[in-house]
Amino acid sequence: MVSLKSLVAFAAAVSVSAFGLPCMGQIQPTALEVVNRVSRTYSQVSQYEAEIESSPDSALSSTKKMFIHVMLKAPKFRVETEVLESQEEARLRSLAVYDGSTTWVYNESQNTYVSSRGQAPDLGEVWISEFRDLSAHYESKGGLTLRLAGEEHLELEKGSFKDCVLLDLQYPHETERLWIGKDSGLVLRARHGGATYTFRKIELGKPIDDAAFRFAPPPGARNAASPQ
Amino acid sequence: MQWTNEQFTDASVITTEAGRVGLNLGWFTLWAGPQGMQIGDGPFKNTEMTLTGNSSALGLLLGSMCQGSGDNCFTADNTTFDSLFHKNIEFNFRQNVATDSIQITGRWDANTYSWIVQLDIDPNNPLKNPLAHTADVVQHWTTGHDTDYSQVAKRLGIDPLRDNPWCH
Repeated sequence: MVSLKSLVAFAAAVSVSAFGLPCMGQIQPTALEVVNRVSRTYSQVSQYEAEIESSPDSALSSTKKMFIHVMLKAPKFRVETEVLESQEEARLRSLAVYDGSTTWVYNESQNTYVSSRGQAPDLGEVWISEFRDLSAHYESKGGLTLRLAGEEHLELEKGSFKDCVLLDLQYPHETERLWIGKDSGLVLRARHGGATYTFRKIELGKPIDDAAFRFAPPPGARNAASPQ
Repeated sequence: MQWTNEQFTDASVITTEAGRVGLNLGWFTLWAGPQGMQIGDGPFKNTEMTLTGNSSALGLLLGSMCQGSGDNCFTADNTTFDSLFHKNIEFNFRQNVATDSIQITGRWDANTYSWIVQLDIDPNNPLKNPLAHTADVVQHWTTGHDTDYSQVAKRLGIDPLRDNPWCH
């Protein structure tokens, strides 16, 4: 007589051998091919430049749009952010730089900055880190189903289209969707966590001059960590 | 102690959600003054609630954080941006959900001979939604506005006036 325990163990083993992954929700084999392609595309990247546009999914958000320009030359990074708020016409800007020893964060409208020596939070890798091992990301979030949801002709810039496959990653409380370039294996759009992020431009392995990772507080800038 | 409506709302949402997930904050007291509920009204100022208590209070809190799986679980969180703003953090816990996740940081304060614990709710958990959390952080640095707790309350189904445990 076959016990329930051994049946479960057998099912898990079949799942691992068939898909190369531990059993974690329902994974469509064709979707897994796409996941593996994305992971191969990003796995060795230590240098890249990207322009990301973020739009909130809720109309109630105080932010209309956010533009993020990222440069990474690991471990150094530069992240320029511009926010267009719903109630105001003004565009607000900030800059974060890690020069290899110190992280600097500068707020342009207030002309203030903070800095921290030593290990810095990783603002450079984080924009692509989920894509390096999508299956691990899916597993760690308790994924329920992973499936292809069709194809789309995605307009990244006016008149410039990319053919994408749509990948849906379903979790207990939300479903993430990724738009993946059919030619490149790049994630060109991601919807999760209450917003949609569009990678208007992304160049993996692009040489970046070290000058981009230097920061000196502008004249008159105040250190926000110091007493006024 | 006079609080603004925003301080009252934010504190109510944090304590209500902490109670829902089973955190035992019963032996802690609110840090005296407006710093008890700091509002992140600047690019480098975080919205967070500050409590103080003795080792027994800390023991009860830590004991209420389960180690298994489920919504009432916390994991060590070393991926946050606290090193830029907070020094000498001795423990750092994170509610194990992808969105609207409670974070607790704590340190021993030799001056008051007590544990100081700070709580906040992040719209995106950096351990689950790192990209979205980082976008939230850079947005805060840029606009000077930290988490909007009225939006957190709506998503979590909390009415800050009706559910506030201090008003019963």
